[in-house]
Order: sequence, then structure tokens, then C-alpha cells
Amino acid sequence: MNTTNNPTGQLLMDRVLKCISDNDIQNYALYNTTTETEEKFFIKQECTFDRNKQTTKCEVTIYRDFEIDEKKYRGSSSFVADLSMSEKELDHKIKDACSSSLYVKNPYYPLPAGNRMETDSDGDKSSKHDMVTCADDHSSGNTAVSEDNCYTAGNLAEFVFQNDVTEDVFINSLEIFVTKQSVHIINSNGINVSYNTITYSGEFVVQAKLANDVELYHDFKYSSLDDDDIPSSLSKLVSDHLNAVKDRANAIPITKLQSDSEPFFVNRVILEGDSVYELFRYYLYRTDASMVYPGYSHYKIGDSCACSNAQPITITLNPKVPYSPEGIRLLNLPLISENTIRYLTGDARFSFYLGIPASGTYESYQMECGSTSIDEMEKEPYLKIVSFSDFQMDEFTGGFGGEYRLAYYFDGTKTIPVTNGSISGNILDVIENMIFSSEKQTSYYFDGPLAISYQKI
Amino acid sequence: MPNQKKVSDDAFHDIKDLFLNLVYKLSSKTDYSDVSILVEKSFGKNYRVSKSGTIIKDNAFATNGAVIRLLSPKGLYEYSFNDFSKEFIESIPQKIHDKILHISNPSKNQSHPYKNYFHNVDCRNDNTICFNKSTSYYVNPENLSTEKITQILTGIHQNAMNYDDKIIDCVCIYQYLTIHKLYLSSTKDLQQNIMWSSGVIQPLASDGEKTYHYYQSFSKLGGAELLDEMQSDLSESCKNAIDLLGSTPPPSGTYDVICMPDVTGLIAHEAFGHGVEMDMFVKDRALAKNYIGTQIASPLVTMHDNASTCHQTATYFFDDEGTISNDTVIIDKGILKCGINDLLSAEILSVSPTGNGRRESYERKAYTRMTNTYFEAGESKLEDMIASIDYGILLENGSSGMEDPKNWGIQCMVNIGREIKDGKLTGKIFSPICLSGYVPDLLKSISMVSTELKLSGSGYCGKGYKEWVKVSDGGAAIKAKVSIS
Repeated sequence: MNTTNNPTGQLLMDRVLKCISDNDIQNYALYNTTTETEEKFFIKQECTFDRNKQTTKCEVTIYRDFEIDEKKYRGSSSFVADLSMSEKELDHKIKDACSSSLYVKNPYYPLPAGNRMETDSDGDKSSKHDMVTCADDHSSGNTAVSEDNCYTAGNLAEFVFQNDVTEDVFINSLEIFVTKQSVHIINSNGINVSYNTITYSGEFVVQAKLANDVELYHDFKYSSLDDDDIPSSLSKLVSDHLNAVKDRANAIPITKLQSDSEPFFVNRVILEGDSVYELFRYYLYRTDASMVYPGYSHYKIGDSCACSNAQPITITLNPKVPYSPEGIRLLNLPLISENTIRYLTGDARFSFYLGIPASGTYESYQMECGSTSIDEMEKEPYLKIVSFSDFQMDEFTGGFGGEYRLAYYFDGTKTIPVTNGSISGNILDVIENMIFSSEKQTSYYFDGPLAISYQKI
Repeated sequence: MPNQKKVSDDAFHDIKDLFLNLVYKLSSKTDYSDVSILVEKSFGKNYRVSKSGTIIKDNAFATNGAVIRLLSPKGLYEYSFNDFSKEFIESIPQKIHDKILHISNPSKNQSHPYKNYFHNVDCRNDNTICFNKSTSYYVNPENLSTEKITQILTGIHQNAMNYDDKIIDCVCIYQYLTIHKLYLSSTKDLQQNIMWSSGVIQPLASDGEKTYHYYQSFSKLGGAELLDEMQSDLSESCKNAIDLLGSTPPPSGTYDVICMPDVTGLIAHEAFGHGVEMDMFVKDRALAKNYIGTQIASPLVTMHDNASTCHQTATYFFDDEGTISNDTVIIDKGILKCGINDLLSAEILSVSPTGNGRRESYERKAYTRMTNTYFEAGESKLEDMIASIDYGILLENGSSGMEDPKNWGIQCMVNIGREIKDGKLTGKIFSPICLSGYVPDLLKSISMVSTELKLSGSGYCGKGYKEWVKVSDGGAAIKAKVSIS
């Protein structure tokens, strides 16, 4: 896709705008996306399936203001328009959204306004995406992502298979998605922004046929705009997982340790890898205005999110796209500095209700590492979990847990790979004695400690 | 109750010829074979009322678009699009030609596993199949005013808020989806028109520090008549949310448990539903393929995946590859009988297609997926099952799970565990609960099954961590032995 020009996206947006105008609608927001993908599906190293996708969609939100007992309300209703719709269908959808919005009795809030990129004086305006995602104010001309240095799905497959060279430990299957997307956001209050992205995502399963026949799953995502050296990063990711699955093949069920004559007790848990990102997302949820406004979270700016003797938590939001779906400029925001909450984030509605500037919502973040190396963490007996079936964090309770597929148990003298166990806990209970590793991990969504350890309660 | 009606069957009236011509054009190219197209026009809404306000938006599965599948000299290929203009559709053969021309694979990986046997896939029957079928509903949500629907949900929300000061919110959701799908190939001209509805009532209780929620779900093949069911007594749900405030995590260990039907369904889905998805057999990712015909569960266990006769949210007449839906008996009295499959897996494994090739939408690839998955009911009474346990836990309100077909591991997260001591519920509540273990051990440990069969279809199922499709699952209450942490 040539992301500089997006005629189908413009065509759909023009049709929607005309219909909005014909229905005399004053307040609206459009989030228009044109997507092209190249997809490959492999079993072992054999490509079994190729796919391409080309779609254009526009999420349309219609707003209507009304008053009841002198109180102002702003109702809204949204739907997705696409190029398959006839003019008649589109008109019906818009009329329906317009009438439905009268029954949405939400207190009034203003829509984000155009040219409001400099809302946050503390934000880092020279953030990485400014330079690399080529996003810009639409009216000043859109800059395209250069496709000269883009990878094809075939290229990515080469990187994945580079280290897949043995018969007993190998890639079982692989799916690759190259996604090129043009996003254009406008609203009736002057927002008119656009940007283009190219992402490389997928998943692979590694298998080992050794003492046991086992597998491990991993997914990945990169942006053409990140600094990562994608070929070497992807090859290393695969190599690490090929090594890990070897360990899983030799792992014993944790229950076998429990049945030994010596008593089995795990005092310290180390979590390494993806679960660290998921665990600390708790703080992203709790500082979101949509959680604070209804009272699910009581966090306020200036509050401490952990007790004073806990290792300081410092989290900076690190957006991967330049604008929120409402067209709010996303910035590198220092969310939590040394346990103190510096920002509450949120969309236009909930931010207005809380009286804070609308900063948008975020998925990716950076977290400061600690000063303890993983080697130091591993001096005392521990259970280090490196691969879960599905690590879960409950944003309401702080409860976390999951079944692990690969962990290492160190009893003080020897390290044993173990599997088929599960853990559970609550971040509010364990944060006090949690230690963050000095080693770092970097992925699309997370840049922070490779591991954390905590004393089991 | 109003009269039962059929979902309208004329969604493709104006555009069907365009797609017939496209299939014809592509089929007449000598390079391509096995050309088919799936066209989807689905619409529906999601209404959500909570303390945060009201949201009305499209159902997340509402989508319009089409996907072409064909076998080219470079292998199996699909092209997804959503521009239904005549100009665009006429340009598709050239677009596909260009895309296929640019397909490149790592140099040593040019061979294609479907090349040798895919050519007969869609021609196994000489007879052309042609139908246009619809499901039924009593109240069309499209004809019910937004005012009425939001009024009902707001009433439910308000009743919950009035229950107790500790209830800080109650999320009330009603959603429906009307699905129209058209499948065309050289031998098939199929259309289906389906409507399902689902609802959620989720009271949240807080003590100022922690917040807990209870989840009550509703679902059916049908329309807004579901709203009548949702206006039932809320006090049990609110009480459960408040009781959770006093819960503690359970001590880790192996317990005798009673799984209520929603947890039984979660186990059926995670333990053996994913385990018998035969695209995993093809990839050597499922242990079950080695155990067909063997005893893998208690003789009390009979398990179905049934897309054809349940009044639930995953029912259809044909799957996304044009295969007619089935009621597949996966486990019969403890014996693993067969798996479920998509068309390609069936072809590779030389077994009959079961009609389980499903897509998240026209935008995604089809995989082997579950539909309505459940354990059959048994003969025990729930009270006798509880009375049979000296010390154990009654599990209810399952929230999520994760499969491990390769190694037959299971993980299910459950919201509520009620302590059983000397055959009676003590009132003590454990939460959260992570149920895990080795699937055959769990299934073989099932020693009692209750008489009441219940399915719930308010959830979604992912393949790994993506590819979400609507499913339902359930069963009766079961007594089993499981690891809990």
C-alpha cells in the first residue's frame, strides 16, 4: 500500500461527512482506517497458506446535546461504516445513531479540540514516534512511512527460521502478519489528524522432542518505526525460545517435588519475561479516568501507590501511535515517579468529569529497572517462572496468577526445570517486598525490568 | 409472548449476482481451482449501562465484507475485502493475480502441503447444495426502541445500586447480532440468517480498598425477549459480590470439588474442546490424536460439540468454509470418539468434515473452532453431590481459561469457591481460584454428574491469544478432584 495517498479512505470519509451534513448533525467524530495486510501461515518451515486483506472502515460517533431539569447532557451513539454500505444503509445508520444518542444520558463534556497538541507542558514532545511514525497534523500535509526499508512476510520468515536448524528442537508453526494502516481522525471540533503505521506481528510455537515432547508459544510485534534491529531481535527471540523449550522437555511436574521425602517449600518467586508487563499494567488500569470516575480506583494525583519501604515504582507511558482514537496527541507521560502518581490518563469524557486534561489511553509503557541483578536474586532458593499458559491480572482486585509451563526451582544447591504448577497472589500484598532486576527487557508494549522477585505471602 | 418469526433472508438480494460473477470469473482462469467466496453482512448493537454512563455502539462482531479462497499454482490463497462496489469487485481478479505473483517464500520452503490433495475438497459431492435458512426470534431488537432497551437496563442497574451501600456499580449489558452469510462455490449456494442475543449483569462491591465483582450471564439464539430473563431477581448476584469482599485465596492443594455448570462448561471447553481441534492434530500440537478410541475420561462423561441443534449463540447451518453443521459426539461414555475439524484439516487427515471451520470475521483465516460445547447431564442430585464430600470446594462463576492441547494441561480461573465441610456448605468463600491439572486425571476423576444441563453463551473463545469467535459451553454440575491454588 502506498500510505501517502489513501483514496478509498477519503472516499468513505467523504460519503460519511456528506450524510452527516444531509442529516444536519452538528457534533460528530470519525476514526477512519485503511488496512492492508500480507499474511503467511507455516507448518514447520512449509508455507501452507497466503492471505492478503484490503479494507476501509470508519467508526462514526454521533453526539447530541440536550437538557433535562436544566442539566446539560451529551448523548452519543456509534457504528462502523464501510465501503460495502449503500447510501441508503449509511443514511439509516446515521439516523439511527442520531435518535439513539438521545437516550444516552451522560453528563455534558466537550469533544477534543483541534490544534490542541501542546496540552501537556511536561510531556516529552520530541518523543520517538514524532520522529519515526511520520504522524503530523493533517492540514499541514501527511508524511508517509517510507516503504523502502519495509520487510515482507517472507523476509520475516527467513529471520525466524535462521536458528531453526535441529531436528529434535524446532519451530512447529509460525504465523506472520505485515499490517500497513492509514489512520485519519476528525471531529466537529477541529480535530483533523492522520498517521500511517507498519507493524510486523505474529506468533510461533517451538517444539522439543527430547525426554518429553513439549511446546512453548510466543507472540511478537514490532513497528517499522522502532529502533529495534528486527532481524536480529526476532532471531534472538526464536533462539531463546528454542533453548527454553529444551528445558521444558526435561522439566518435571512440580507435584513430583512435593512428593519427595524432603519437604518442598517455595519462599521467593521470580517472574521473568512477559508476565512483568502484565503485572504492572495494574497501575495503568488504576490511573485510568474510566476506573477512577465510577470509584473502582481511588487513586489521585500526588497519591502514593506503594508504601515507602517498597522499591520505587517509576512508570512512563510510551505510546506507539501518535494520536488516541479521539485524536488526542499521545505523549511520553511520566505516570508514576518513585511511587507517586503524577498523572491520571483518560479519554475526553472521563477526563472532563474528573477535571483533568484529556491525555488519551495507553497500552505501552516504560518502567525503571532496579539495582539487583538476576544473579543476586537467584542466590537464595526460588521458583523462577519464565512461561505461563496465560498470566492474568485482575485490575479490580490486584489478584494475579496462572498455570506455568516452564519454571526453575532452586533449592539452595541445584536448579531443576519444573512444569504443570500454578501460582496466585495479589500485587497489593507483595509489592512491599518486591525487587526489580537491573537487567532489562524490551518489547513492543514494554520496556522495563526483565524480572521481578517477591517474597511469597 | 409475541409470535415467533424468522430472521429475514433477503440481505444479499441486490448484490448476489456480483459475487456469482466473481466466482465464475475466477473459476474460469486455468491457474485457479476450488474457488469459493464467503460474504458476510452482520449488524447488531451493544447497549451498556453502568455508573460510568450509557454506551450504545455496534456489536463487536458486526461486520460487512467478503473473503475469496482459491488454490493457485503457489498454493492456497485468500483475499479479504469490504468494498462491494461493482468497479472494485470487477477489479479483484487482477488484484489477486498481482498479489499471487508477488508471493515469496524462504528459498527452501516452496512446497505446499495442500497441493496434492486439495483439488477435490469442494467437489466431494456431485450434487449441488443450495439453501437459504433462518433462525427464529420472538422480539426483533431492531424494532424495539433504544428508549425501551436503555430503560430496562437502567432499571436493572438501579435495582442493584439500591441493594446495599457496598455495591458501587452494576454493569448491565445487552447485545444482539443478526448474521447474514452467503457461501458460493462451484457446488454450493448457501445462505444463512441467524440472530443471537446475550446479556451480562455484573455487580461490583467495594470495601474502599479492594473491589470484587460477580458475573451473571444470559444468552440465547433469538432476540430481545432475552431482556425479560435479565429482569430477574438480582439479590443473589449482589450478595455474591459483597460476600467476595470477605474472601481469601484457597490454600494450595488437591481438592474434591463440585463444579457448577458454568465451570463444567469452562472445563469442557478448555480441557477437551481445544484438545480435539484437529488443525492442532495436523501441526502435531495435540496429544488427543494418539488417544482416539481409548478411555480418557470417566464413563459418566459424554461430550458434544453441537453447532446444529442448540438454541445458543454458536449455532449455525453451515460453517465459514461452507460445510454443513453437525452435532459431534467427541467423548462417548469416557471414550474419545473423534475430534472436530475445518475443511483443510479434514482433507489432510482423511476424515469427514465436521463443520467447525470458523473465522473471527471475513478478515481472518478459518481455523478449527468449537461451537456449543458441553457435557451431557447425568443422574445425581446436586444436594447428594455436596453431601458426599468431607472437605472440598464448590466452584462457580468461571471467568477464563487457557488450553494446552500438546501436553493436556488445563488452567481455569474461577471467581468463587465455597467451602464444603462434612457434606455442607460452611459459608466461607475462597477467591480467586486457579484450577489446574492434567486433563485425563481431571476427567477420569469425575464421579458424579447432576441432572440439570445448562449452556451459557455470553463469552468468546480465542485460538491461543487471538481469533475471537462466539461460543457457548456448559453441562451439568460435576464432582471431580482438581489442583487448586
